Amino acid sequence: MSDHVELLELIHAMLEGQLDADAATALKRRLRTDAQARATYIQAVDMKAALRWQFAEDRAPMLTAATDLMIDDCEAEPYAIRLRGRSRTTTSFGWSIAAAMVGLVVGFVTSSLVLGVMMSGNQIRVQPLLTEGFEDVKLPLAKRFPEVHDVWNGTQGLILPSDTAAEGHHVIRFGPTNTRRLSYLNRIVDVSGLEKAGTDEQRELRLTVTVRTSQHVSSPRRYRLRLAAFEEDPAAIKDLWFSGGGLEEKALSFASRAYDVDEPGWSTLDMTLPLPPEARNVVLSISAGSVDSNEPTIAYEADDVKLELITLQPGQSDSVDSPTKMKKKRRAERSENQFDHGGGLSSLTWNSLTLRQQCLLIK
Amino acid sequence: MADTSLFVAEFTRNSQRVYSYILALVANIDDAEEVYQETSAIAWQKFDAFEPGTNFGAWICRIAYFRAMKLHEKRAGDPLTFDADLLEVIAQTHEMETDLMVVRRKALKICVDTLPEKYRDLLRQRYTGTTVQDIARVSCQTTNAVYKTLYRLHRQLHECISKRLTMGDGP
Repeated sequence: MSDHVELLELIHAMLEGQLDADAATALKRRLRTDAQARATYIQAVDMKAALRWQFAEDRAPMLTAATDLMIDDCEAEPYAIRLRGRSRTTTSFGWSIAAAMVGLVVGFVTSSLVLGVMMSGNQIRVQPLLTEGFEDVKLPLAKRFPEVHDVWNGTQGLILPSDTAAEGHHVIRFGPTNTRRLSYLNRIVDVSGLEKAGTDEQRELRLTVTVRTSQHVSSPRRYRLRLAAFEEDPAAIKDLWFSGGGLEEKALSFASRAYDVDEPGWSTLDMTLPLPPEARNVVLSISAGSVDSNEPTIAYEADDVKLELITLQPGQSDSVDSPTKMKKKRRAERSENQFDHGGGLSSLTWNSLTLRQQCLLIK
Repeated sequence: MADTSLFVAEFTRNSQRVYSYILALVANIDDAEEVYQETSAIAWQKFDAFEPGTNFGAWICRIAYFRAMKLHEKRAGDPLTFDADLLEVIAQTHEMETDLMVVRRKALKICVDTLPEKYRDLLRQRYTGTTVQDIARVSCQTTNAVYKTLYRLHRQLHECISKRLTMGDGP
């Protein structure tokens, strides 16, 4: 077998996920040192990309007229399965192109960025409320728990440049703490201006945060996400927050979710909270510390924080993925090192959207 | 408010290149689709930060680069992951090969058309989301046999493209 043919075979196996560890190491070594091998690799990659595009076009013509996009035949498609960690998806490629475009078309109608997905007759809308990559180094940080909207407060909070940021080029560092076991990152988000929920509509918030330790540690870390909805103003919320007693009693709605993580690098965590119609402000709070209380405290970093409003408008048909069924399905998928209090997993979660991302219907 | 029509136009123009770039960085077809979806969504979310008139392809590829890097970081220790240095040289090589890719893709279309129908069908199945395992099950073959057939087809197409470009009768 010629060297070139052997290289092509290795590249093909790698792209198909069929390469064993030794062969992968050898291929990577060659790609690192051999410019011609790298060129061959890029050619092989681009051929696969082109084939995917060509056949996807055959099946789902490209979005030449986005406003006319209508994908039917959804029920015939297999569900895409997205797992945490090493994810695999069976989403067909044409649909993923559509997924990328869905926000645009709905945007024509609503004049705001809202992702719209039809699921078994239920219309789901996703509206970003906060997208924070900490790219603004002059972002004001409160020294204590915030008393106003839209200001981050972190334990010794600091925005730092990072070559390995989860998104962009900066992260926020919080901690270590001298006085407590946990380091915190908090923010109050104003939700008073949101459109009121329509009849039969259910609304919830979804928080997604990417976190890591600022230095290598071998012991597991515990992260906790909390969301609490209040009717009160930010200054009054601060008093409530620290007044003792359970937040379950003091907030209109409250949810907390903890994660034990022992893998190095970034971890993406998420949780949801039902949003009551009376809510005017929402506190999002991220805490981090060692599972073992005897460990010294260290600093943590967060990036790519997102808060989204998810609205479900029940449709006529609810035959396949009723909220109860979806809840059960997601519960079954929940990994064992996550434990909930309050919000838990909801039928409206973002993961439910991606489960059937190929079944997008844009009105 | 972001210019929706501008995003649609720029995205459509660059989407295949972005997908190819992502596949080069993550080196796995299934992962590439996931990173592509994430990149598309982030690009739209951050489109307000894009400066019209500048290079949208480079801008979105930068987003893709960080998503790919994030994926590799999550899998640190996995022998299939790329480290930061390798990721960087792969990204640079992809950039250098961009012009040639356009010519090769045109030749590829012609080469695919010359394949027997059953092989075109096999490629169609694989590239519209059917797993190799499912193809094997339906066609009563072993998974390994399907992988080998797919590999032979890719090699054949690779050679066909090279031949067409060498002969100078490319499109």
